[in-house]
Amino acid sequence: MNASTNAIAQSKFPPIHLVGVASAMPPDIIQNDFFGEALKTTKNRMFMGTQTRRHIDNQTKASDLIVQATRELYERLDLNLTEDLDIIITNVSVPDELFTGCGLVVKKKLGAGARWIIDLHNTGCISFVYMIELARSLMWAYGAKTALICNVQTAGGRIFSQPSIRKKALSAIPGDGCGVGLLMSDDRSPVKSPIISLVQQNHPTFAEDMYSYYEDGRKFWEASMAEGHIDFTDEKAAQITIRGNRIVPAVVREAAKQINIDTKKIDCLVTNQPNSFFLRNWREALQIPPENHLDTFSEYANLFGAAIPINLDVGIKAGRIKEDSLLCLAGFSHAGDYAAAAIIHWKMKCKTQNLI
Amino acid sequence: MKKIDITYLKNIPGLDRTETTSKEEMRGILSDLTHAVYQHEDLYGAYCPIQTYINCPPEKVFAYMQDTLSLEEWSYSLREFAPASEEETRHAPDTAAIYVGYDKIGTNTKIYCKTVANKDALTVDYHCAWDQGFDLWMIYLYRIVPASLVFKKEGSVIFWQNCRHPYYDQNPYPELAPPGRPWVGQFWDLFYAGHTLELANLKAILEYRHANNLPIGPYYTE
Repeated sequence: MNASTNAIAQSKFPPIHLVGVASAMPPDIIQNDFFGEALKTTKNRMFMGTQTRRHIDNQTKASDLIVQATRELYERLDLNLTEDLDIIITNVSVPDELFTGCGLVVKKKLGAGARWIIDLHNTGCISFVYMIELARSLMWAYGAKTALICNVQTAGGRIFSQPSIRKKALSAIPGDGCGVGLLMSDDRSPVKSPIISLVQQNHPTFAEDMYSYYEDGRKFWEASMAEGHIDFTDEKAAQITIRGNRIVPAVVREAAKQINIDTKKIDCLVTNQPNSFFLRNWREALQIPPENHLDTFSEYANLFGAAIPINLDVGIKAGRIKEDSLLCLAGFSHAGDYAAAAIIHWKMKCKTQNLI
Repeated sequence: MKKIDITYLKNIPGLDRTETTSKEEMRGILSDLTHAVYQHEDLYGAYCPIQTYINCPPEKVFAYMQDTLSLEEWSYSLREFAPASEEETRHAPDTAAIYVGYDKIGTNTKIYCKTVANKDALTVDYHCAWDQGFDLWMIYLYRIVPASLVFKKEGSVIFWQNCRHPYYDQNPYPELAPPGRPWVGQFWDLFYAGHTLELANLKAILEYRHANNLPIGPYYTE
């Protein structure tokens, strides 16, 4: 397998800190009955385990959710959007517009002073960690102090709510939401929660195993009456189960190895949440008890890349992440093309976050 | 031409067959059953299956293993086998010879063993017990398969299976045990490891003798 691993030696540079996260969920709560008979009668356990999910409506843009979450985060942290924002990086699963990303729209709506704007369209479900690495590199290289990284998952409302697509049981699995995270340099950060290990991998062998699918065989840019969705072949689906089972624990072990700890020392694991089997299998493989693995699968379903910051935000608000603990963010994207894990020495008291 | 009448399956619950379990449902079941890791207990709790490839023809592997005394060469601790007396075996009404030897893993522990082999099926089973020769409940099952069939190469594949007989958890004849000696069943969780080492012994011996055109053995003193 022609996989690449990238892990920058941590000690060469001053630490970068994850200062906080916030989320913004579309208000429309979609119940299981929205998906009709197919979901009700499905016996495929892969499509079970969700009670509700959110769908973004046609008027709301990904940038609106980012702005909502970011304003909440800045208010909570008492930071200034004009001064305290150098880098904006976004990853939106189904972009608001063709051609243009939404990063600059976010800057406009926030009135922020960011100099670097990056709209990232790879690394899907694990893009939160990939964006941490990208932001960190810019901060180290150019002395930027503050980076906002933004994940918005919009495939639920944009794709899986279409009249014919929603009748498929698999359409119950995607759910929409937005999570943002704020990184700060060591000299600027009011809280010291350093990223102490970060590993990312890419697996080009798996790069074309997830694709958009239209009944009439059209390309996504071609006009047609057929509705489309994202799919894997049956054969690939089985392989992806095995890949996901293997590569996520492996990349977490690699991240743990970098700082010479056993994965059992991880106090809190936050991953993407493609289905309940992956969640179970990853924590079994890493010997992390269910209570230390945060997920919102039942309530929010598969949040793709937004799962990590949203689950983290929910976990922090629920007081589930202890001060001075080891927090691990990990997952894989699409059909296994990217995987990454970051370990953060989380110093913040949950209750005191408002006071910073 | 015989045909299967599947109506006789209707009353049997819990079957997964394509007629009643769709491919879609099957996908979910398979994903559910596929974990990233498995606990030792899940894999080796009730059964202890192991296997290996041996670069030695199946008939030679069979010839070697069907001789009970070969255990003195390839097992970790079975030694000094001699035919057991009729008193010891309580006149077991069996044609297979019962041997008695020592299992050096236990202090002062006698082990009784008979070999039940089937040349056509290429199966060799050792029926054993510690301390007594009239109830041989510790059964080691082996099946030898031509590697030409399963790996398209010369040699043999050997499957070794043990089942967790209830006596492993409770010695049925405690009065026959040497005082203070641990019971064999206390080591069930180490069987995977122990058997793996012994299977490696078997492989090494057979491959060496086959590669050097030596008689396959076992080798006796006169």
